[in-house]
Amino acid sequence: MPIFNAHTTDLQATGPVIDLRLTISTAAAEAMRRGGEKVPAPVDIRALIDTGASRSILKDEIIEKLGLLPVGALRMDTTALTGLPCYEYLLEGSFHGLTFTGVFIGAPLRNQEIQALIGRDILSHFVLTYSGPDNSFSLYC
Amino acid sequence: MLDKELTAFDNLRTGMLSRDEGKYALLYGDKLIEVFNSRLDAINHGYHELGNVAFLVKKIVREDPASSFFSGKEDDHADL
Repeated sequence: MPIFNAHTTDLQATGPVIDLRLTISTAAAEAMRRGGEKVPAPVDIRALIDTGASRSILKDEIIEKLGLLPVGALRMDTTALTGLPCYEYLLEGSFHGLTFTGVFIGAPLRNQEIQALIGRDILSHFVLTYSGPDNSFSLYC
Repeated sequence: MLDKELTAFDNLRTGMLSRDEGKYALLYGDKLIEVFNSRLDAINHGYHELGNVAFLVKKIVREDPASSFFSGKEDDHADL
C-alpha cells in the first residue's frame, strides 16, 4: 500500500501541500481520440489539502491548459454576484504512487503557488494524518 | 455554457425527485439522457455517447447543497 509522507519546516505556515500530476480522464481521452482531437499532456501542479473545503477546486488556467469542457455546473452566490455559474471537470490525479479520480470545480484561485485545493470529496478516498509537533503529514488509502 | 441544461434540470427536478432522488441525471441540451446511480458512471456515459462536449451531470436532490466550499478567508484562496 503506497503511503505519502511529507515533512516541512513550518507546516502551520505552508499547510499540507502536495505536488500532483493531473490528467484528463480515460473516458474523456477516448472521446477526444474518437473525435480526432489531440489528447492534452498531463500537467503538474501544486495543491493544498483543505479539510475545510467540501469540494475540490482547480485554477481556471489549468483547466484551459488541459482544454477541458465541463461535465457539470452549479450556481454560486458570492459577495458580489448571485447565481454565478461555476463548472465542474473530471480529472485523474496521481502523486507518489497514489491515484484518484475526482470532480473539480473551476475557479480563479488567487494564490500564485497553489493551483488546486483538495477538499473532502477527494479526501474521502484517503486517510490523512496531520502532525503539528513533527511538521509532517501523510496520506494513504 | 450549460444554461439550457441547468434550466432543463430545474424544470425536470420535481418529476425526477419522485423516482430517482439521490441519483445522478445526465442532460445534454434540454434533454434528459439517462439517470445513473453514480456520478462517475453518468460522466463516463456522457463521454461515450456524446463525445468530448459540455454536458451536465447533476445529483437529483430537493435543494442544491450550500454554495460555500472554501475554508479560511476568501483572500487566501478563491477569488469568488
